[in-house]
Amino acid sequence: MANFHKHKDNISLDDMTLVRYCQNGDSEAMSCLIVKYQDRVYNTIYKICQNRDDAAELTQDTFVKVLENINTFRRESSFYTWLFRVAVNLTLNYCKRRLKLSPVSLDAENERLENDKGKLAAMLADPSGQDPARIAQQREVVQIIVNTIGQLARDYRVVLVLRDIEQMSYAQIAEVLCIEVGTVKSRLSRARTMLRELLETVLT
Amino acid sequence: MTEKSKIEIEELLNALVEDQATERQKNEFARLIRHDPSVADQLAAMQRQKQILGALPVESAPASLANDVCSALEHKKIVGVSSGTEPTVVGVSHLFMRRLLTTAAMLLLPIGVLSFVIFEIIKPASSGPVGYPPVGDGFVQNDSSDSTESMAPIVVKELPFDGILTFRTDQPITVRNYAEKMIFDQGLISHTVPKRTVDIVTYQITAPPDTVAVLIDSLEGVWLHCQQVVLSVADDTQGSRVDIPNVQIEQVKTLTEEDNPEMLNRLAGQYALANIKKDSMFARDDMSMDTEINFADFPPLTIPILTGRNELPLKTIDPSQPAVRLRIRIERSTE
Repeated sequence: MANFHKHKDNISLDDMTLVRYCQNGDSEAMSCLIVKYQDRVYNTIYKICQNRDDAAELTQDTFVKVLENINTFRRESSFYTWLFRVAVNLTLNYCKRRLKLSPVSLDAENERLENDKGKLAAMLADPSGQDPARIAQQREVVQIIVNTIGQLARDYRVVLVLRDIEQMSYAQIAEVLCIEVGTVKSRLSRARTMLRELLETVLT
Repeated sequence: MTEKSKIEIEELLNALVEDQATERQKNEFARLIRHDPSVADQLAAMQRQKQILGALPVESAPASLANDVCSALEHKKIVGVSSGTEPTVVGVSHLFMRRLLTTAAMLLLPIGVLSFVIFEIIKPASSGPVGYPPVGDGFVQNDSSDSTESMAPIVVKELPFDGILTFRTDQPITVRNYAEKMIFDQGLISHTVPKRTVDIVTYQITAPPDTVAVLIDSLEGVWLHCQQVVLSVADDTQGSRVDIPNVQIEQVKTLTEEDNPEMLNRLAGQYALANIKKDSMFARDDMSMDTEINFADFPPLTIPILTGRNELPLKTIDPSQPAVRLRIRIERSTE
């Protein structure tokens, strides 16, 4: 096998090559894999769990677990879906534990959601901000949308985040969640409708 | 709008948002907006929502993440922590086995103790030292209704003497207590297996001949308080027995110490004959059948006091010595 250090642009190496280096104990290849995916993994976890500190910890746990078990990776699926499967599983487990530890007050959440919807409507009323891409860059809007996504049930939230934010294909989502593609479609359809209903006043 | 049609519209809009709608779905959508123009607004809202979500900025992971991950990996490698803290299949099965064994041990231990206690309670009484035949009357059952006549010593081949010394008395309790004390004093308590019924007490003693002879000597006083003393000796050669009526102490001692089976049988026969004829030099001559016996003239049996006296040290008996078996039988006289 070629020496990893001979490659000047290591980050451009494909996942399988990096994985091979990692399996041989190359720590620089491990760093490359982490740098390559850390933001996407963190972003996905944050959108699901809604907490930056927990997302940072879960991202670290994800990479530690993946690199610890890198030798068990059989290359039957892509490294990307394997990585996200670990990340999503850890995050969902965390969400279940958190739900048990701190039950959320529905009244408080509904009140917060109403406030968010009002703010978002006011922002969207500004003619200068009608471009969705520009709207999405506003910090407050981002926070409101993330909060609203957090109102969805876990199964729907995960599918929505993986598809509309992480831009995964149906097949990749099915592989990550170990469910059928048809289930992915129906859950996504339901998740989008639920989110639209939650943000109805500002999106229509 | 039914729930089913609502779901169908959701999926139709979803296919259009994903730009994966078939021609049939596109026609269906066109038909829908003709009937309900608000469906077009729904589609627009979903498309806008998808665009906003897709345009959300990617949150950046903490800058130290890569270093933190590497540090955590190195720490685990140094500490030797196994991969992950999730329970493995092997670990779970191992834990299950340990719990199973612990539970089994917790159940079996008290059951074992309880079984031992129950066994100790219900087990059959000891039949005496190892090698001793079980205590019984020691008689072979025959058709005779007379218990004395039915007595037949169990022949034990390795023993030169095997006999039953029967005391028939009207003072069975006194005689029994005295005999027991003598057995104890001679250190034969661990070589004696008693058997008690309402009317009859039998002590089966298996000991060296000289020890048995001493015991017989110590029972001298018993003779005077008995209406009849009979010794039944097993005839090993013929598989029968010889009954010696009115047997004397010396006769018993002689027979117990005899180590030749033939001589033993011959002597037993002679004693029996002589005692019956009452003309033998060994026959008892102090009691004529015509003479009325006054038992009040005899000195009373002195029952040893168990407390307040110096106990004799227990005699040790060499187990390697040849032993004889004597059964002392005390029964109430029917005369």
